Amino acid sequence: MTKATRDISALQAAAVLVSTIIGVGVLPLPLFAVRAADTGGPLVTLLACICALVGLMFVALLGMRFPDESIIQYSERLIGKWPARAVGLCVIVFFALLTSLTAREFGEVVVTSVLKQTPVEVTVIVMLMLAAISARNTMTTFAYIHFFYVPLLLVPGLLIVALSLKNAEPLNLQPIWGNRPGGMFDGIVTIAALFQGSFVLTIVIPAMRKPAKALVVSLYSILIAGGLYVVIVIAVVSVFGAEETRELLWPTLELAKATSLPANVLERLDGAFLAVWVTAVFTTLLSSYYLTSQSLTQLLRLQEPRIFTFFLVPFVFVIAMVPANIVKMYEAVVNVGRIGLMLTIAYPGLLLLIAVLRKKGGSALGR
Amino acid sequence: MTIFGQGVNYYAFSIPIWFLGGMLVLLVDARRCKMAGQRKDERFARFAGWLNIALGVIFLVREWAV
Repeated sequence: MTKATRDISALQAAAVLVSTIIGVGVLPLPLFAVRAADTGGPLVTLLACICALVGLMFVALLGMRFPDESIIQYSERLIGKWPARAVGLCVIVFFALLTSLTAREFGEVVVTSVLKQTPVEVTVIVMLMLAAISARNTMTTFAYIHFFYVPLLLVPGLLIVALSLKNAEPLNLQPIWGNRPGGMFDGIVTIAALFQGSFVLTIVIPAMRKPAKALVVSLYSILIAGGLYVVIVIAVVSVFGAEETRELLWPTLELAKATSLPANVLERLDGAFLAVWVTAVFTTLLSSYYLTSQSLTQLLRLQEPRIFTFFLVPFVFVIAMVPANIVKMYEAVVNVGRIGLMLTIAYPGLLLLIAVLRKKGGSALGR
Repeated sequence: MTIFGQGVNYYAFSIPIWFLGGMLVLLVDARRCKMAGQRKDERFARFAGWLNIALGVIFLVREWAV
């Protein structure tokens, strides 16, 4: 059965968040950062991390007040049944959209750089089926999957960044606030949207052994995943420079191409990087799919979330294929991400404010 | 792209997914809910499975018509 039991440790919860955050957005991240503030890209990424941390802290604090429930359940007690259900439905639709766009982005990268003759539909279907089958597991297995993959994401990612720094030119990073800081706000919002998968914390907390550690977990997760994001942007901007980065569709992939192992053991690392990246996309997709199916079960007051795993696949697939091309897809990614911030940062913030004012919810500190 | 001289778009790709998704929900999930005595879940699973199959038929008819 998929009923949650309290056996997720704080370390596993952090692993879930880190591997969920590190995902498909790693590839265009430096482009988003450089478009916003050229050499100020690393600063924009850092500010976006802080923005994402605020949203995650709202979710964690709410989870600590209502340690046995997810946001779909406790929101009904805070703002009333029907308003909560309406917003809950919006959250579910948003995460279904996020799943679709993640799968499509994965498909586009694969058919552009690896399987050039394969239809994008095939790569998208394969990834969605993989996520759907994996999402049929219990919360414990879900956490184990993430925990298993986290080192495989972090170690090669950091290694590639470290090796690329031999081609770095620190002057490319100056001025650190950028030459045109006017676009910083847009950049912060766009990059903060890449962290929205961390909202999965809302369904992880009810399965945590010690829900009181949710806040520490969220802090460390953003520190690790955000730290990796910041060093990736620093590496790309220092190696290519802001103007060159602006011309690259997936600058992180180009960074891996330009990086070699010492003594030319491997003359380029893009193949190895893509293998790691596929894993990162899988874990991100799994989390958003899992969150969607679990939230739908709670919204409809059902007991069996597995009903939705296969049921949702064709819907998610059709939505994924709606953007006509890669340009339209990235427009959709940016727009959906920005709208999503209202649901993943502003909505939990509002709920927390209401919970504090109405003195609703207990404390998880005793657990 | 073309397969067997026919233009294939994502509508065409989605048709087997609608049918497969619907059949899996009906044959696996609805049956599991029935065995567990979860009546509400079973009813919803049957509805969801048939909805997938119905949408598959609609997409199939559209492919033939267009």
